[in-house]
Amino acid sequence: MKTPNVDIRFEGNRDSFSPGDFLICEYDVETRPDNQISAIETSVIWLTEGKGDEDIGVHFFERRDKHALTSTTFNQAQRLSTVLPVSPLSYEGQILKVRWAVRVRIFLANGEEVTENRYFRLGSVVPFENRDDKDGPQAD
Amino acid sequence: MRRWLLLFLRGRPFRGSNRRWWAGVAEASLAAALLLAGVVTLAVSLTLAVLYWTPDGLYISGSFFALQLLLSFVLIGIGSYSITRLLWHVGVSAERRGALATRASELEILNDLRQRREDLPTVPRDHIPPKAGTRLNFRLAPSRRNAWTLISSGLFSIILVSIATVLCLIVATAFELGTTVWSDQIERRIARNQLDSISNRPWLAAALLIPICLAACWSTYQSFRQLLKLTGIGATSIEVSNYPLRAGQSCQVFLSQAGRVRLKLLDVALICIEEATFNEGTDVRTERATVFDQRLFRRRGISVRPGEPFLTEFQLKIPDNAMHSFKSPNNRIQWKIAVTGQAKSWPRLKRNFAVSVHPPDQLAMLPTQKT
Repeated sequence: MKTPNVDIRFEGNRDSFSPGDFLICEYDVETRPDNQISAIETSVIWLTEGKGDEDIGVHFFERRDKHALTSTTFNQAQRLSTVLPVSPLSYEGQILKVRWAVRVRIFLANGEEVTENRYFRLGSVVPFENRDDKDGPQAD
Repeated sequence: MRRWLLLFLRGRPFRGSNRRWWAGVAEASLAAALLLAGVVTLAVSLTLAVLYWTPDGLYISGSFFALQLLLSFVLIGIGSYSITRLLWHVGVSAERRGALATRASELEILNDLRQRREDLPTVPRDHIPPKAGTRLNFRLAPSRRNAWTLISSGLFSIILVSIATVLCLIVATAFELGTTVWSDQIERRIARNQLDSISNRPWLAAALLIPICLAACWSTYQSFRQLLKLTGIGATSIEVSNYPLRAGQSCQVFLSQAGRVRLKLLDVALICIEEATFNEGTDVRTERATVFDQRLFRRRGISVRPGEPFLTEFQLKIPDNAMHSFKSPNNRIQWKIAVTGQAKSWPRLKRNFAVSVHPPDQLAMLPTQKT
């Protein structure tokens, strides 16, 4: 059985935001005739990657159960908007990365799940590896 | 205690301001010796009570045994109190206590700081919030690790000394190192005692005694070094003009190093560390990576005298677009000011001061998002 396709896009095709910005994005769910969807969850999350175990923080979460899903849910793009927080900012370090994503998770009636992430950048942190000022001035 | 020591330490080489410093070192040594004596007395009393215990009672009168225990606890209490008091006085000078009283109004700034932090998810709170400074606005709290090193090495040393004392007594009784009358009694009582499995194998106990005694001596030496390092070299104080700091922001830093030492080298650096905790099999491991290390200050050949701490000011700048302090259950980004120094015949000085770096001010970023 083929699973549904999910397409997430940000308004204005931007993928970089500042703290306090309105994040507006749309997602389309393309279903197959044999797909029976029981729920859709949309969230705006940050997650860590790297050497350490993964941590996740949820900034925005919405769940739509079967009774809240109509034919229009799948015929037209769904909209999601939220004001982004001040922290944590996106970061790419040596053993730790902090990434932001809009996640759409679709639960099928047969127990399967389909998850689609669309990553974006929050803030303008520059990794130290890409800098020239790693070694500071030598005061005496 | 210090007043008595000051009276005692008269004449050369304890002249003038040196006297106060020597009194501090003597007080630390005396406190450590009292604590150690208490631990040894307690271990001896309990071991003898166990070794010579009979259904009829103790080998000595109950009141004498109680007196022994009381003496041990008094020695431990006085030693612990003296060390705690010494560390407290080293950390907080009289001038600073005075300044705190006169600058009470500035505490409002600190309250404001606490409120602002509520709106910053994943930005860790300071374990010990900064206090009002004497020269600049905020005095940073030294890392708790400095004191914890002393506490952990002290506890380790106490445990090892207790074990060594107990083993010493067992070996002494097994080899009949005492009066003949006592030896006869010991032999009869050991036969009925739970510890006889060790006591009847004196060479095994003696073999265990040597490494444990060596470990006890080494750990006591290390604890004493730690105590002297914290009390002898003197307090390190860091004050900053702005707090919390933000990426791209500069601030003035004031460093005060007290003590009575000639530092061959004094280094101050701004450091950013990434820390990742992960499960590997059944172990939980933590890996750290220093991603930013910028020297803020360095000087060679600094003389610090009692009552004349080394004072200096310098600039600190958090790099533009740097990552803020971050903490989640398994990952952390930590900023700190690290003070390191080396003095002849002293352990290496290493003191850390955690610095909270916040994300850029939300209000300052609003004009960019409106465009």
